[in-house]
Amino acid sequence: MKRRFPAAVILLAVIVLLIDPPVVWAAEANAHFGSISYTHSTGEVFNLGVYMDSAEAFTEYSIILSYDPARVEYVSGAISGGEGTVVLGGVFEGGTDFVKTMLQFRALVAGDTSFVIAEATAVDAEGNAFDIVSQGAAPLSIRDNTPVYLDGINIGGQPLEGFDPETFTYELQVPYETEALEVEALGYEAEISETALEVGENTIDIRLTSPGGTQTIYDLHVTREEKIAETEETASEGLTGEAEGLTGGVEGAGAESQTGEGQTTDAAQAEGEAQTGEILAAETEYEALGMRSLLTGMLKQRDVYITVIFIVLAAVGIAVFQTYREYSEESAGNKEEIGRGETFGWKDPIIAVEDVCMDFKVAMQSVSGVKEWMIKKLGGKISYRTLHALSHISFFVYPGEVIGIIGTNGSGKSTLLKIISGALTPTSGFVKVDRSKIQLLTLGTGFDMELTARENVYLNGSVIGYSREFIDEHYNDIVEFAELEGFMEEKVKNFSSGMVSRLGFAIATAGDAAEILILDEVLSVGDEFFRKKSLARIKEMIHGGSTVLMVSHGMGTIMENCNRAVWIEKGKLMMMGDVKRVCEAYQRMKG
Amino acid sequence: MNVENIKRYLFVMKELVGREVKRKYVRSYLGILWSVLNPLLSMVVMSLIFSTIFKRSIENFPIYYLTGTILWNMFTGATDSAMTALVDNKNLMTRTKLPKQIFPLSRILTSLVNFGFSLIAYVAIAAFFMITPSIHLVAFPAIVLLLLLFSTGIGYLLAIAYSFMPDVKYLYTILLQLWMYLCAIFYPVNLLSPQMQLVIGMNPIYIYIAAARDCVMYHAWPQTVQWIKMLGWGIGMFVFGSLVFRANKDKILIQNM
Repeated sequence: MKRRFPAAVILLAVIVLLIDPPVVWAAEANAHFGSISYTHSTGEVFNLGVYMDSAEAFTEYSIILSYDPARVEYVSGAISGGEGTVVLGGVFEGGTDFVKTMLQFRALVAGDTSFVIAEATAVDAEGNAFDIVSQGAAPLSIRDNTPVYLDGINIGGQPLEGFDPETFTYELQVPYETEALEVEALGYEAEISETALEVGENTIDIRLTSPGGTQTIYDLHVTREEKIAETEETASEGLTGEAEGLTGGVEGAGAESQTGEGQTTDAAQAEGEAQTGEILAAETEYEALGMRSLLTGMLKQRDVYITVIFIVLAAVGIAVFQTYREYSEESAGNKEEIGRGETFGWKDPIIAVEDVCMDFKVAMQSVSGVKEWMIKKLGGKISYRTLHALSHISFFVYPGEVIGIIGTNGSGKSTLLKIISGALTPTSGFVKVDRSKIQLLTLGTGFDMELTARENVYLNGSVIGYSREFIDEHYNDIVEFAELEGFMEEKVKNFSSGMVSRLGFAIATAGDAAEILILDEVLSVGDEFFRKKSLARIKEMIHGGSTVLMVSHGMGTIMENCNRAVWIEKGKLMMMGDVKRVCEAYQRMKG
Repeated sequence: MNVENIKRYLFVMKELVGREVKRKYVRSYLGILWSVLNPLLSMVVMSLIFSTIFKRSIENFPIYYLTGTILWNMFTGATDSAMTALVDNKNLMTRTKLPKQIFPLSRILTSLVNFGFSLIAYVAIAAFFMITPSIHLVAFPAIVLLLLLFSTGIGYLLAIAYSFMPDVKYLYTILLQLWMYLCAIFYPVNLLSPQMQLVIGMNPIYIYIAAARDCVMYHAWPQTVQWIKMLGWGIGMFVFGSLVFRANKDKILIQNM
């Protein structure tokens, strides 16, 4: 019983979530105006749409609307009206879901007021009342469109000849010497456009705005005479042309304003037209100016670009230079060490390992997280055990020698090879060797099992240090040697381990042997036949005159190929000398 | 000899990048095509959800989103993979004489290659929405290059940090999530409070994204301040990252034998 309890609760919860309880909604009706707000001019008779609609049908409705009789006068459209309220309504036998009533009002006095739905009802055939959602109010702003006029215009201090407040265009002619007109508007605050004059036709606007927003524009068409007996026209022609275009636009606007003036209904439209004219003019001007500023702008931007590109290039250059210097320093350093001119025996050693120690810090506790690490680090609780992988190893290798390095697993052989090849830096001591001459042969370094054999040849080859051309050239030899003809487009993950090793060996030994060869367990690969073949290849390389360092577990391989051996045990150099002696000692120790 | 070396390292990087690209979609049927499809599909999803919400403030939402997301993906792809580059290639590092920078760098270049593929989707969508190319597009590669420098710096830092402390990976995932929301990839910045806008303005990735949008969508050159910030962040982070990497690269090997 107890077990079932949670299940029951969950079931209940699911049921509650799934069931959508039926909610009874009262039918809703919406009473609203045709617009959110209205704008009209004084004296204008305008329509006001009043709507009632609903998703359900209603048979009867009524709306009581209130308005401000001081600003608006009711004209017609409703059942009854006047004195600030208008009543609408109707009965529909069959029912309807939408009623639209058009009321007419006249705007009287400028200012802001609003129409308000004071009361609205709707009833359906059964007599159920609807819930009414009402828009409430629609603001109305009434503007005064009576135009304003100037009393006069003064030009250069002199009244303009023939000025009449209701004439809006004047023609003027000025001599070439007049570069700007001094225009003064009398009687009303006015906006006067640019008064500097170009040669040829110019237009100066005088713009008045009434409190109701109606604009009146007086245009002065000024013709500036051309400079007598001069031939500089060509330069200014283009500009004059543009100015003409500009004038055209504004002229049109002015004309519209004139016709609209006096006729009350068109004022708003006229204003709209005037604005269009303005925008047009502004655009023309922009284009004229635009070309020039665009050119200068682009110039500046180009400078920014050059700077940016320069800085980026400089940064890349510095990075490349740094890398370059690092490597040249490295190789220079190596050469210096080699060329110190010390003499060992009958020849200079090609590799000198001097007192090399390699310590690894091994954390005593395994720290598995940042938190733990922080706690322990702060508390000073991280203690390291130092693992002496190599201690005080010194030996020399002379050109042409083949050295075998022997020792039990984990004795430090591989670490030593890595230090010699430069992959690891010793803790103390140093190795004198020209690292550019070293070739480290390892099998399948960087093989990617998901790629095909062909792709791995290139990947592995590049990592080992071959160039693309070199691989292209030796590709067939590699395939042949690895005995993998017909398998090269297969993914390496489908290969047997023997095939992978063969491929690895073939790639690793494809090149001409470098001066110093380091072989890390490359000789115990594949079956009996391949082992013989690979041994032959190695011998071939060795006889080419390379110095060889090899690590192998096969005593036979070491005995057969090396002339000297180095025995390392637990990081310490046990013995070094003739290969037979060292191998015998090693085998004796192993028992 | 040095020119030879650099040539060789470039070849190695090319091969490593090739490996990463081939590996990425190795078990899928459509393969590399996913690099093109991925941004396209995420764009469709985001546009379905957000384009109506931000209708007023963002014109051409798909392009707005795509510009942000391909740059962001390049950054995250680069840094996220560069972070594990050293540990993943431990074998290669101890057995060859390659400079260690090669490994994070090849991961970063891989993300640039992926970016190249998503650019195909980007160009197609831009053409579909009639985004006309203009001279300002010249700035786009410069912006991408600078973002790549920035990513390289961060990638170096992360690679070092990760090889000492694997937890960094999880921490960074969370950080990226927060960072992504601060990049205004799918919403308009001007909807935020002024304080928040200030915070986002300080976010380097956002600066790159905004500049890219300027030159692709709005046909405008990024402002001088933007250039200074982009250069500063890009080169500064690259130099800082490189220095930290150089100082620590040998310690890593000792740590991770």
